[in-house]
Amino acid sequence: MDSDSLHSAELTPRPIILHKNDFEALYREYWQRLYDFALCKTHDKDVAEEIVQDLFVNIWEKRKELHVFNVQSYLFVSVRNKVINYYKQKVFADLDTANDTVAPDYPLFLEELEAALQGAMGQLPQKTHDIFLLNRFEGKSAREIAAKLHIPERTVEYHITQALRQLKVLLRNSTTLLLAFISSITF
Amino acid sequence: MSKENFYTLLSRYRSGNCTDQEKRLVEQWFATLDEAIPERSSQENNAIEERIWNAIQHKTEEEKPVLQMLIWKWAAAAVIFLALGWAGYQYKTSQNALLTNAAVNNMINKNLTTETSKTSQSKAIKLPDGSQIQLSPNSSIAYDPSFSGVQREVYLEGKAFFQVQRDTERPFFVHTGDVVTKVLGTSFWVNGSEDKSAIEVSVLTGKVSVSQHARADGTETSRIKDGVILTANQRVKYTAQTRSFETGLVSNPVPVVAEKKGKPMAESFDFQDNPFSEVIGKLEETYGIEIILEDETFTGCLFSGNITKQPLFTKLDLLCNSVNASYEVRGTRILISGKGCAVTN
Repeated sequence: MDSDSLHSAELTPRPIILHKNDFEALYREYWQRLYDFALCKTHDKDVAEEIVQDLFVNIWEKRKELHVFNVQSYLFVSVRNKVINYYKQKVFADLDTANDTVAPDYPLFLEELEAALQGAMGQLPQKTHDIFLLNRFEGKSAREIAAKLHIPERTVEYHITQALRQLKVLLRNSTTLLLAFISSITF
Repeated sequence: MSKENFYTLLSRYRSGNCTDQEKRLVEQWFATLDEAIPERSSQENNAIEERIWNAIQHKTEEEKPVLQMLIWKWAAAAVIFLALGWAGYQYKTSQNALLTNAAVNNMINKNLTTETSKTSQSKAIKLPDGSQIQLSPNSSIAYDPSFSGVQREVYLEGKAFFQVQRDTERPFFVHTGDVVTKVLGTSFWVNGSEDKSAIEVSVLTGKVSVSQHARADGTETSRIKDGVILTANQRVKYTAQTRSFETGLVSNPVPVVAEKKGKPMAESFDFQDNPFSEVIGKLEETYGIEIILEDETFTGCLFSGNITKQPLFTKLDLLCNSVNASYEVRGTRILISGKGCAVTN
């Protein structure tokens, strides 16, 4: 999903920034959450700083055209995209040759990746698995999940942490070549 | 090859043109990236907050008010004159103070190129970024030979004249003793003082930040602490003993060389019955110095004469004489006081 798709919601969009003061206020309000988000995904302080910096510079430059419905989700989606770009560049720098054509074994790669991820997910305890799915793939917050499953929020958080920890181990131990590679650049 | 495939996957995802499966895979992969974030002190947090904010401001500079924009944009190079009587002072201070000095530590840790001028003539040095340094006798500078860091840093002992190549992406720092001078704008001078324990910085045009090295922990993030920001024709004197900054005006302010759409700012001071306040306003604009008229008594005053060629303070003498007023420099501003001349009209 690209950040632009946020423009297609049903409410009337509003400009995110009008004046320098709003801009600074926006930065002050969100910088830390965005920075932490970028840091926990990239594990690199300099990269995280750069991502937050880029994001706000972009916002300032585009401020006149930029209309968003939900500022918070716009910011987080933008950081997410920048994180993915960062990994993309990192992989790119690692390639011997770069071309635009899709390798013939690409479909197979997707299947293997899918199998590896699903396999790892499948090894999670059922409850951890369900909570992780709700949280990561349905975008539910810990509080929403807690309310839905009638369990303490803290328990939800525990399951999410456990899921991440176990997934990392499972994926790292994966025998497939591609995951060994992905593990090496991400964990 | 899987690297290639992975790159293809991420590219397709970012292009927004991908299948549901690809989308799901990237999102699942992304979900597993999380790693715990190390704890930060509130001090570290503030340092990061400010560092990012400064970088953002730096990159969005063009949007600043007109006067500042003029100063920032006028030229591609910055001119700095850095001189200090600090060299003799440093070695008299305690070893301890030396060791806690972040700049000195940096200097030791890094493999720096050192240039020294021992002869009675000054020495010209060109830095890898195109900046030029005129090193005065008995002075030396050190810098990382690759000059490729996120910021350009030079360590100076003694006296030097800098012409700094403009690069908003990579700030330029001059470390001298306890003091860090950061080039924020484009053009400035840094002047020395006779006093062996003082460092003096004065700005020709543009903007610099002068601050003290952090002494306690010497980390990069907390290096910029107390200090002052100087604009055109302002100077600051740093006294090592008291670690204090005292701001004022340079002894001979010069017109801020600013360009407005390619044309130099008007510098003619030929007046025919112009309101006194208008003349003062023009001085303020030309020299980038704030001039305060004590009260409204000058409202009716007019001034005639050509004072284009006189230095600023002579201009002020002539102006003040004509209206029975006097001026004094207070910090970085000039205050004009007098009885006014409103009655005659």
